[in-house]
Amino acid sequence: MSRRDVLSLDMERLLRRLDRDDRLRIDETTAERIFSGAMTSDDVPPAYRGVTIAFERLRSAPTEAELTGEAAAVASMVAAATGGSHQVFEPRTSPVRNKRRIVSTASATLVGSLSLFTGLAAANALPDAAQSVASDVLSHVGVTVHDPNAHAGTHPDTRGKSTDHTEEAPTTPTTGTGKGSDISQLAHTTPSTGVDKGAAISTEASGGKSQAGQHGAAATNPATGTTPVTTPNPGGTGTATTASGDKSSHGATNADTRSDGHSVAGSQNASGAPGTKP
Amino acid sequence: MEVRRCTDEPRSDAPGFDAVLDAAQLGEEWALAALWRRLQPALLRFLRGRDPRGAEDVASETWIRVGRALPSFVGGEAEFRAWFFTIARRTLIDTQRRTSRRPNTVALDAAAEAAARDDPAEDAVAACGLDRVLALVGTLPADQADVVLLRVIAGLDVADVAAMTGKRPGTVRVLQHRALRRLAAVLDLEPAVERSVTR
Repeated sequence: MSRRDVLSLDMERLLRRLDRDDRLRIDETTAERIFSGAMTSDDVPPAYRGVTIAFERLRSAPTEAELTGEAAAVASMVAAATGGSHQVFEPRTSPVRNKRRIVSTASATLVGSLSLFTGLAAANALPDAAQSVASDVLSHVGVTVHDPNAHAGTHPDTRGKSTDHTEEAPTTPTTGTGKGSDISQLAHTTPSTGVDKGAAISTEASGGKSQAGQHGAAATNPATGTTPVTTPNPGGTGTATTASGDKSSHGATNADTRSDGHSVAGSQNASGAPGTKP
Repeated sequence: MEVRRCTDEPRSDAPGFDAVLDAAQLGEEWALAALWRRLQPALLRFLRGRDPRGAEDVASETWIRVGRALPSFVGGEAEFRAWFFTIARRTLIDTQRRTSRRPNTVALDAAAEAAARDDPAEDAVAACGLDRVLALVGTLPADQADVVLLRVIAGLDVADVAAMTGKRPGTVRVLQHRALRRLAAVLDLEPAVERSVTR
């Protein structure tokens, strides 16, 4: 076959294809009318006559075969609607297949669980007791995972049980023997009442350090053993003199001297005595 | 002889669709039977066009699902038709998923029973042409076959098919246009096929 012949054949094929494409060209409205059944095979473009007839076949009247089984179908629908059994049309599943499904599901679950257990053991993410068991079990199949008891030395690697504990539990209630018990007893037995009772309890509780009940009393000077001021205080001068170690009297004398006796008059006025007005 | 189509309205003396639907929702057997007669042929054809194997089983499962869900359905005939074929399509998809791992086997008893069935001659001729048409549609890509069967057999419009298949109406139009050209090309190229389909 010459080159010219090959080209001629190719050209012929191309022209046939173009011709076919041209004949198959169809607008959307016509296509829609064919699909909706609005056009008969006589009205459509020639290339679509076969398709239109095929579509008419799809829409053709029901055959007898297509309408068999009505009674069973209706019974099945009624049963389904009322929640009853519908054995007639329920797709049958083989018992063997069900067993296989159960076995395969169980196998998958087992394999998954083992994988998870092994993974957690390898990651040392299990509780110590479980990790120890996992280590023992996996060591038999050549897998080494962390054992929490590996560094226990001579210490036992098992946990004690409550049944190992032989000491008997006390059967009678014990009374308290501590300080709290003493203080509680004092609180119940002391004849004191009110502030005195509180002071007694507080003193006992604090080991004698508490000063409860000594309202307003001045602290005793640890050096002299005396309180600096006798209470109630009879007068400010005495108090000032005592408290200042007799230095305030000098201040008063100075004040009298410097004020030409006016300060004395002021003091007398303050104490209610008739003052001497300079 | 009166020629009826598988999607035709029932005769005028029959109760209207709304009355049938109301009664069917109350569980009346005569109404359920009327629904079944009206939709079963189209359902079988739709299922055979998508997957010839086990179309009857899928149809049965579809009717069970319809029976369960029927009391809660709200709408008229057009909505019911779309609702019904939505259930059918989902049942088919579920069944295909369920059986995809199983080998395709045919029971010998069932095959013998089918061979011995005493169909009238005219049914045989009609079924022959119908089977070939369904086989031809089955050669289309799945989404195009879906559109053709839902539009032609179920009698749904573009919007219903779009809602059912989760596609946009424009996409459905493109699919049906491509399917139409493809079918026409096959029938146009192979006159033998056209004769077998249109005889």
